[in-house]
Amino acid sequence: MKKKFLPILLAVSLLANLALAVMVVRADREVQEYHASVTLREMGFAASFLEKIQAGEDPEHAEALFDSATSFVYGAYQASYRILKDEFSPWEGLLFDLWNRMLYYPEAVEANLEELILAMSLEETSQLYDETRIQQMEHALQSIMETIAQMQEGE
Amino acid sequence: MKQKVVPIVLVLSLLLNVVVIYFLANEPTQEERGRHMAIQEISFAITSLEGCEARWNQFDYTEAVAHLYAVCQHVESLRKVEYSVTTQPFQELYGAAAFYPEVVRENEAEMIAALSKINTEDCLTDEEIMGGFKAFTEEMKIKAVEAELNRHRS
Repeated sequence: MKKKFLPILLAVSLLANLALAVMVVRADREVQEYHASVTLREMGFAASFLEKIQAGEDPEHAEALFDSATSFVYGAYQASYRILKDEFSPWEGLLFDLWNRMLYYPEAVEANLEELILAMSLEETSQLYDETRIQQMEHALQSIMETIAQMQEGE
Repeated sequence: MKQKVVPIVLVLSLLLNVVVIYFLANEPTQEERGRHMAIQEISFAITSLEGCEARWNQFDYTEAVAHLYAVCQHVESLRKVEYSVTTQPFQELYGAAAFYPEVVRENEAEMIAALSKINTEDCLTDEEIMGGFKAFTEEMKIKAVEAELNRHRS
């Protein structure tokens, strides 16, 4: 009896291990996908508001549009922070830097809108892990930093 | 040989199950993380608003609005996990702050007081606190509508 019972119990236990592993992986992927999609959505909102500023639409409210874009960038940063839980996500740092620059150096950001909009316009969540897109954003931030340096030299 | 291996593997497998379940049970859930981050963002918004209250400046104000927007987002993520808190009061407060800064400026102390009442994660599920907060945000919304009407009249 015992001889038959043990292998069955072992099989059940191994199956339970497998089920737990699948459950953990699926739940994790679902959560990551949700936060990645929020990151993308918020970046898209910010990019569309910056596009309006670039196109000169509604110049009376350009400042309000820029402030809203700043909030969306912060929203994207918060979502990117949650994509990888406690692990480092490159977008987390990039979006935080961008938010800071939008907050304190709006003129420098506005001077680099075209490059920034391009870097922020992602279509799929998979692009968040694309090295080229990450570099594109890094470059946009670098351009903003250079503009800030030039502005400070001018002062 | 087989008679000895099967019980050992069984014990190891059961132990593994126990360890995995232990870690799953102790890992902060998405709901806990969301609640924690919402509270964190509320406290950041309060700090920025207090900076504005001491001396009005656009930097602190824009930062406060961004934090309020992030609160909406975290509460929204809680709703995804079937959380009872509605995003509406937070969205209304964000809307008033983003589009009617003059209304916020006139009611800054009340806004800080309303946000300060939500100072722990439990407050988000406390019906009395959330009910009071909702009433406050509705009041802010009415003031924002009035401000808009006054602007059109003038």
